[in-house]
Amino acid sequence: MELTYDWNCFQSMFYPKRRAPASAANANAGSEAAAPVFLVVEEERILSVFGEGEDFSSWIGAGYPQMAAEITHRELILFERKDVDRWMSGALALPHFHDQVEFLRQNAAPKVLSRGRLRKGGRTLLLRQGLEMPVYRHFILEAIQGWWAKVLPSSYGILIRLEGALPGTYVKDVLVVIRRGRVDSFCEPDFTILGRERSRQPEDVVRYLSEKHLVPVQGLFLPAELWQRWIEAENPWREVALAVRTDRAKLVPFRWSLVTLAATRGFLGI
Amino acid sequence: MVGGEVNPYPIQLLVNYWEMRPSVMGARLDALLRRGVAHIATFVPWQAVESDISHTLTRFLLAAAERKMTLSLILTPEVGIHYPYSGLPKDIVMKPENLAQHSQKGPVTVSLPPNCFGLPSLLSPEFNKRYSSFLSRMDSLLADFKRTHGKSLQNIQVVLSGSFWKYYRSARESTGNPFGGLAGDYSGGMALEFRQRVDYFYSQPEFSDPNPAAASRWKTRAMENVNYRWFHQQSESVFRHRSYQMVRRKAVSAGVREIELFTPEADPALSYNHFLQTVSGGLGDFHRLSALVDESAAFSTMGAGGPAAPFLRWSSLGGFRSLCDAEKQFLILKSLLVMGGLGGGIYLEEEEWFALSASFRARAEAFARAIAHGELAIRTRALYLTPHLWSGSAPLWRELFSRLGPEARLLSALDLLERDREAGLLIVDPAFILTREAVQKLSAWARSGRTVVLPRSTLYTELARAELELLVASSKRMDIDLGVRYRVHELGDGKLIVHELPGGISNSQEELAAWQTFLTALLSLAEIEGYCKVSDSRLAVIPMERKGRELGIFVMNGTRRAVSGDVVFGGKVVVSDLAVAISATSQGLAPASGPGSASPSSVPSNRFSLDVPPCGFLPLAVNGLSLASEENRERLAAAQLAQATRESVTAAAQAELPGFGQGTGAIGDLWN
Repeated sequence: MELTYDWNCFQSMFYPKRRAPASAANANAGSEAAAPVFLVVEEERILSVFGEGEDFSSWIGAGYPQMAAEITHRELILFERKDVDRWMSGALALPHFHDQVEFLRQNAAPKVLSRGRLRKGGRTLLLRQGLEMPVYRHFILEAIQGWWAKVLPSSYGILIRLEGALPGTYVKDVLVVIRRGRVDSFCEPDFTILGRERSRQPEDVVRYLSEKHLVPVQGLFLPAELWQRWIEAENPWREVALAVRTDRAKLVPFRWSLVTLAATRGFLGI
Repeated sequence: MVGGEVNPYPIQLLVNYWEMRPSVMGARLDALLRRGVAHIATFVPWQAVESDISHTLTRFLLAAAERKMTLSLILTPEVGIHYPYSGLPKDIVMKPENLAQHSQKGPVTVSLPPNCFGLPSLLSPEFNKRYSSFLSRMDSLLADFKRTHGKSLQNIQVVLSGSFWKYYRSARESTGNPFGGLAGDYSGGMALEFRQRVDYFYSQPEFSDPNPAAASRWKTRAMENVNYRWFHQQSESVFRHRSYQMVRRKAVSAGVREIELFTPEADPALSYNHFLQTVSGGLGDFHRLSALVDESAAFSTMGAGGPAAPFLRWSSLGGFRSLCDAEKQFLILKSLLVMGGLGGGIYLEEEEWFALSASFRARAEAFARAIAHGELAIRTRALYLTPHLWSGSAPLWRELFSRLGPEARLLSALDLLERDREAGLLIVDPAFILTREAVQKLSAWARSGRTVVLPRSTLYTELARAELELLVASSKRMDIDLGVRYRVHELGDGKLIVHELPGGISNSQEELAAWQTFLTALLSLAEIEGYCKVSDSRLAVIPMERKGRELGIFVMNGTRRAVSGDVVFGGKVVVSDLAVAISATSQGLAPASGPGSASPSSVPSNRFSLDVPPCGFLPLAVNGLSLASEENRERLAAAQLAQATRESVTAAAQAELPGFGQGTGAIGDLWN
């Protein structure tokens, strides 16, 4: 059965697993900037706390000023419980998890207790409003949900086929349908009807999906390890443009306009 | 375990049949068989069955039957299923009038992919109508399968879980103590049902004693919290019974198993945590997930046909996926030991399981085999009787749980007590409604060498109070006041303790200290003591009983750094590697038990230094521990036997001797 929202397939492509960060102790020693600690608070009481690399659960129920006075090496990012409840309720109306995640990221407006303002012994704590959350987004989703939405068709599909397998994943084909710049559905397409031979032909599968979903479909065919390299690259669009040019990745059908968009983003950063 | 049985499959792999194309179904099952997997489990999403025009489920059953694979079909709606709305029909979930509300009057949201949604009320009429139709359809499907494929149905087990009841909790109330707040559905539609059931319950003659007006005291506003707890527990029980009956109408030969399934990633206690991880793009919270495993192991639930074994599920949809391998392995092993040791087990996605290293899988499988063969089990030593399992319990339970861990269990059904053969202590929650029958059952349980602790509360019926007074009037008693005032009565071979509630203490710290002192006294009276202590609070111990009444302990380090510490026993013991002992047993070799069979380097001692790696487990076989609890257990067994003999003699005498009745008194009185 082809699921409309095949999250396992979508997340294996677009929400790659991250490595666990170095422990807070290392960060404290000055080797790198310590990751912030995120809190859900009600008035001053901590309801929930999350910080990578350390267990802060013993702070639940305590007041955040005490925590701020104690933990001076990490920024505290605070969300009010009432706001969180409101945002979470608001996200329920959206159809799938990716949209809901985007909604939360766009709406979540935290307060920040900045590093450097806090000292043991208790100076007045200063709260800063409106932080831009340092969030990882997959470079393809970032692009198609950005200004590309204005130049790309209002409805289209992207088929990504990986040759070979990524570690920890089993999915090789993902079809993402975009409508009005937003991810509308995602699935692992079923090519049973095409037969074994035709389902290996890029042109055939793209044509089949276009007819089935009634949207133009852009195919991207590449080795799995190249996809992994793009994800880890600092400037993935540059890698994409170079890979298409050297035929390591294949666009089906080949569209100059898309290559130009990728190259512009990769080389000019637009 | 409380009345539980040994589960033959402590590790079960989930294979989502609805995600498979019929053309590859056979190949996928063949691949599993080649990897040694002959038993699989699958959820049956309600919506997938309703829209299954290509009969995918039947094809799946057939494919499994052809390969002689055994199969568990989990039918009850559950959270965290990889299907929109977790497999629930969208039209039901989208109607606000069908949605459940927690005690803080908000929706109960499940924040797992493929979409977050509000849980529907299991009391909603529309939900129940559609759900009944789904169960009937499943019943017919299995009956048809039996007709066409005969014996193949024997390989299929229908699994009914506890569904959403335990998730009806407010995220705000669950943050510190996951099951700390009031649980239950408080939606508008539920209110009418609540009133009707409360009226019906209190219309029993026992509550109208001494006069009909007495029943009204049970329905006052002051009793609302007590009544809500009773109502939610009763609603859950009714739901379980209905589901159980409906899947056994036509397909009676299909085995039905009832379980309690926990999905920590979907728990309301982690809702805000999920939010923080979502907005920060962070990894899963290993420590909170680990804490939830501990909490989940405490519940002892009763199904319609008997005890429901606890199972825990790790999905690839929530925070578990983003943990590193060492953390995943820690959680899997921990949940396998605590759930498997209590007669349950774990469910894992097929891909998650095979992504783990072969050596870890072999290790986990060895422990799972030992559990399945009854070589390792967690023994229940103390019980806490509560009116509602999922609602916050009194401080006495928290204290008991923190001292005994998985050896202390929470239960709400008196029927489970009758099946218990192990526990030596039962504490009754002050919010529990005590009827005459309840007091009789509790006293019968105590008589067989156990200790029952009753609160002196207002929640006794007049008949229950009279029964209790009758019980204690003829017994020796001892009054003690150590913060909490209590009275110890001898009852047969056991003890009955009736305590006051420490209402006069204003300071919560003082109250907590009073409860702690009281609990120490209770454990001492019930002769329950810990097997060992660890010198470092970062280390934890899961004690498990081995076949032959020996002890196995698992020393766990749930941190990301290596921890060195000491394990201290009450007397001199010899420790050895439990994994080696288990594998020797499974290969039919002589088990390494007794001081003489220990390795030459093992020297009897009461203190052992250990280095536990990050997210690591050290399984130790402990030999030579003179288990005081073992003597207690033998005494308990003898007392139970004596009690059973006494009861059967009395029953026989009543049947055979005219005039021998209740008023005759004890048999001893008759002869003396």
